[in-house]
Amino acid sequence: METCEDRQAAYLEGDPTAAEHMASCGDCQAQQAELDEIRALLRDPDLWAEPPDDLEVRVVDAVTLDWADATPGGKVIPIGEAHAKRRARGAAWLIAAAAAVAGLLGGAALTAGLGRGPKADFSRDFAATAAAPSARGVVHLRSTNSGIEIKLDVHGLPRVPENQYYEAWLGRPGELVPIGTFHTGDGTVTLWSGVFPKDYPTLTVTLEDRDGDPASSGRRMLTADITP
Amino acid sequence: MGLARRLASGDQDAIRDTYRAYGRLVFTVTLRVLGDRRLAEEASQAAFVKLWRAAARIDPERDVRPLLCTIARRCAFDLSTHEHRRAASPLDETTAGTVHDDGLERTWTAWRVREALDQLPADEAAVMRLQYLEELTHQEIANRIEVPIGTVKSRSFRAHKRLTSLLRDVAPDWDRVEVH
Repeated sequence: METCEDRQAAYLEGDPTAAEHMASCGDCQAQQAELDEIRALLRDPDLWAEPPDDLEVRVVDAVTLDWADATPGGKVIPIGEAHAKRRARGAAWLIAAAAAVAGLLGGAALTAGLGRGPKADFSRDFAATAAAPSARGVVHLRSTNSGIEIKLDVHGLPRVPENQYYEAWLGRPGELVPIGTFHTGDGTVTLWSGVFPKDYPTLTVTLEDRDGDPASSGRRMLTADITP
Repeated sequence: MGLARRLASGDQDAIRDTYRAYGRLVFTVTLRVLGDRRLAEEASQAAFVKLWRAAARIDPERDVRPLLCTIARRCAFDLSTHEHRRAASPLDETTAGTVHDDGLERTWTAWRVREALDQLPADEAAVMRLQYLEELTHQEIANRIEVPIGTVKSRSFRAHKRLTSLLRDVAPDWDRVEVH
């Protein structure tokens, strides 16, 4: 048997038979005004709008700067880096463990927010793109017996939903080589490459959809010239 | 540790977590007042800065949502006033338009409706979005997402029933929500 809650749900949905019940039931009549308000809100396009992906970074940056302005001698440390420094102090053993796992598994290994510069043959700054104007970072490259270890220190990339991810590529004109995927927009990511920067001098981070298509989407978020 | 307590203790990471929990809701409030995305983004950013500034005075035991809703609404109105003053200068082009003021209670209801929508299972939320935002019929939704119309109807009904259940709450005691 339908309950009043069932009838109210049907009324909210616009069922005309439910409206008849609402008119005759005292308990439901008491809810009708609120249900009418909810129905009107559901039809408001502004209710369904999504904020831009980069608003989180802008909010965090604005609060950080406000705190620095208000704090005597306050030094501006982006919140992500401050968090990383606290983690590094308290979990040094994770560095060794993560490196061991990366060596065993190859591919991408997430070593989020360790906050220390790795030993690198050389490093290069990322350039932001129109798609991620607030993003920044540094890429550290190190030659090993397993290949080229590539650590990305990234900050300010938008958080990605479950159906998307970031992918890094080494490239030269007409050719892209994928070197790994990740989802953090604020931390350190370790990737591996079997090709050399001298041959593939461009590193690009793109935003990809989980659609089974291995080709680059072309949505570039960060780029770096990694010519040795 | 709850967000209110973390904010009150000066934990800077709490702002990020507060944004992730309520940023979309704050944006909904500011956009409904201002009707302009750029201004809504600016007001949303200001709301979180204002929340952070007020953090030391937040009661750590209280729900931070009504306070944040109030702050967001206030920031939207303040920005609208600022934009209208700029519009008084013939040299300035602004996007200041009509401000939509439906009162604090209704603003809170909009917050709660959006919050309830975010709690729906993905399949039900998708049906609701197509039904209300794109104004599709059940048959059109069934064709779009390639499921039987009966499935669409049952998802729609379950979603509406969840909404009526989730939205049966008592309004905050606004007198006890500090507005800074």
